[in-house]
Amino acid sequence: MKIEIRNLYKSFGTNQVLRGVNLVLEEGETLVVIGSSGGGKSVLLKLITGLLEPDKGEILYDGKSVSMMTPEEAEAHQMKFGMLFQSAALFDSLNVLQNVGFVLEEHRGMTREKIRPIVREKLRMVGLEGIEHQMPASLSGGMKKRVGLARAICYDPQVIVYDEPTTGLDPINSDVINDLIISMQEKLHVTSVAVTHDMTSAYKVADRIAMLYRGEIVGMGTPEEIQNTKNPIVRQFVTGSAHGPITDERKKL
Amino acid sequence: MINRTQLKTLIDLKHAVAKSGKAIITFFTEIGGINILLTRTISLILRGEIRWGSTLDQMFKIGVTSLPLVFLTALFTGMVLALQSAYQLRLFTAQQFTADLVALSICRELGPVLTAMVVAGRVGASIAAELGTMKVTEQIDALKSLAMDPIEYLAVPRFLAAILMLFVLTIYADFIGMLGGYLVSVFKLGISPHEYIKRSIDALQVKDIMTGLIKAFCFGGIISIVGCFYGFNTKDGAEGVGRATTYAVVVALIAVIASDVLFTAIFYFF
Repeated sequence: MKIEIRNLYKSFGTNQVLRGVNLVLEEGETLVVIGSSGGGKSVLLKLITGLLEPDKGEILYDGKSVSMMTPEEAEAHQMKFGMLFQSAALFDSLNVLQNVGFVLEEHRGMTREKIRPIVREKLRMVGLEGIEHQMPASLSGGMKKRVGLARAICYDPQVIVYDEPTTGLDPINSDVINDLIISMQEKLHVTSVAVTHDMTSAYKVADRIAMLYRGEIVGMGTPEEIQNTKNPIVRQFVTGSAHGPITDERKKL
Repeated sequence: MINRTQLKTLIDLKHAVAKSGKAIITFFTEIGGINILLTRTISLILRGEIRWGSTLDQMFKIGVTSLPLVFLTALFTGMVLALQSAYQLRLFTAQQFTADLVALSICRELGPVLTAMVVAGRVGASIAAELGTMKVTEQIDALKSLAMDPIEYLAVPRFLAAILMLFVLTIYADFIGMLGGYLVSVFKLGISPHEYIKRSIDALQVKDIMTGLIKAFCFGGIISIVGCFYGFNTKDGAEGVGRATTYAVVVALIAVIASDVLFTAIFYFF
């Protein structure tokens, strides 16, 4: 699915989070959006997946806007997105099987017997086996993220969005998640968007990287282009320097 | 020209006006939000979008687990009511009217209101805390991302379970409250068991029991919707969950008492 974001604005109260974001996501590519914490990256993801509505601007999915869809089309449209949340957001009261098979049970009306092999296959894809009956509270952080990813791919979405996929994980688990993002891309041929401030992860998984700063996209390019950028804002962020235009701006505020 | 003290007073006044204005806006925003949630919940129920499995689970959580607390509250209230009324009625040598007084007070007023208060404290708080935690851990967003309406999935079962169980719990509280009055009257005040039961039955009309049960039905709706509203609107992590829980209980209690006044006035005139 091709996604075009045009002049997107979003604010919460007096806090203007996005100020005219323009982005195009080509079908089958992995775009990584980088930017400081609290810079509106997660808001951008929630706007793309329809969890929030923009104040101004529009998002076109294969040339079509959600406002042009009927309620049935909008529900079907929602099922084209799989989202991996920052905290995995597994449902506490349901076990792994029920979490991963949630859509199959609730929307497709499938029985537990039919759901079980599908859930097992999806769990195997994220490198987990034999944990169907465990509750989310008994899983480690890395396992929760992988179960969250299995839930997001269980209904074969066309777009997968990752909200800070490696935050809070140790370097080895982070790399496992990076490899999973790449393997999802290869196996499922989906369009992927990830937001992160983990540059190792961004360089590894991205086809293109976009930098969001103060509610706007200030830089865009392939990982090599971003690594060698002359843009001082992007440069300070990717090198992780304490001195530069971003920190100067903060001092002024 | 105004001096510095006058200027300070003026600034303080301005802040006070701004603060009260903000409180008024919040008040009406919350009332509006609660009403929107109520309307959407009822319209989903009318369209038949009900998850019976999860409603039954909630009925167990709201109803069955509240039984011990409702039992104790109703029993002790019935006993105290019998003692207090006997103390006054003794002055007129009219102790046999204790049964009438206990039956009417419990069924018309104390049964539904005390049950609602117990449930508001227990269940209203737990709904707000559970949904609030789901909100701050992004589980509500996860539901939406899986094309599931959180109101249908979470609010409808809790609302239905609360109205049904408050109804049942109130019948139970009415019975236990009168039992409390009976125990005190028979074993302490020396009224005969037969007379107590007969007077209770004679004093009560169907209308008395029905008005109490209509109230119970509405109190159940208020407690669950207020709990769901504050749960769904939780912000700022663990502190926010604590705040949501407190608001849910306080607002539900005030709303229960305020609507009790309204219902009693309506039943009095019609």
